[in-house]
Amino acid sequence: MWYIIIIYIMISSNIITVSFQSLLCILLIGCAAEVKRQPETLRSAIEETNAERRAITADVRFTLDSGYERVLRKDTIWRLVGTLAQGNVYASSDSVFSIEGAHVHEAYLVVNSGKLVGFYLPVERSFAPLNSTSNINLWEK
Amino acid sequence: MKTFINLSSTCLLAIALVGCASGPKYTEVKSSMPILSADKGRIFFYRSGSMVGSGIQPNVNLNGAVVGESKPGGFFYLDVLPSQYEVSLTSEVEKKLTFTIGIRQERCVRMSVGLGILVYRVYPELVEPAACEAEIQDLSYTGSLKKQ
Repeated sequence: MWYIIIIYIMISSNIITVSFQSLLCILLIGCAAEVKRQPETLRSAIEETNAERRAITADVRFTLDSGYERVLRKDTIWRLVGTLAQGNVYASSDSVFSIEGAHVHEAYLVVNSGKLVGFYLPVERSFAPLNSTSNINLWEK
Repeated sequence: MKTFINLSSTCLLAIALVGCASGPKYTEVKSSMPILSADKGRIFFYRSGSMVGSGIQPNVNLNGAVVGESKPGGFFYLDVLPSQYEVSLTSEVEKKLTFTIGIRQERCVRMSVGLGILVYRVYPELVEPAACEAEIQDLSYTGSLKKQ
């Protein structure tokens, strides 16, 4: 019923073109794109007890390609769980981390020479690169 | 005008009563929750008591099977085998959440309400344990329709 009322108002106030453009914008904004990723095999899974652990020393904020913001919290601990061609893979030991596009995916950090280069999605078994303009150093090499 | 106000108030009350979860609070249920068995993990699903979008109460699907309902102010939990899981809600726009769970691990899935294309939608998020513990305290246990 309210659709009819809105369409009536739009027609009567001669703003139908602008409104359709606005609606198109809303539709485009409302549906975030899928997280770009490529299948990858996690190698050399390491025993949890012996795994290297790293701590984030200050909050790290960044924006994903999808537009969603994420924060890696200060003092969270990250445990080395394996490697990819793109870098070492660290899973959180004491927090949760996810990346988001059209859907939300639990994610591990992929770090190369101390720099965050992307994410490993353990369910999808895929690597999702961080945009190349980001330059996030998480820790010393 | 007075009749209109009365009618509106009645409708609002009806919506409020229908919309919110009822049942024992988390603080009451917590002590009676079964101890997590050695080969399983536990997933908590919860939704704040906000009235925004309270009329939207989609089913909660875990790996495609309905395990509960997303009710405002409600929570429920499931004990599951360590594996990979996908949570989805039958909302206007389906947003899936994927995560893993290990042995004796607890995961929290918050069901948040956001503005969809035409109506409100409910979508799942993975929440940090500390935030989950803080947010779930005053919510009511709604149980689950099906357990794994």
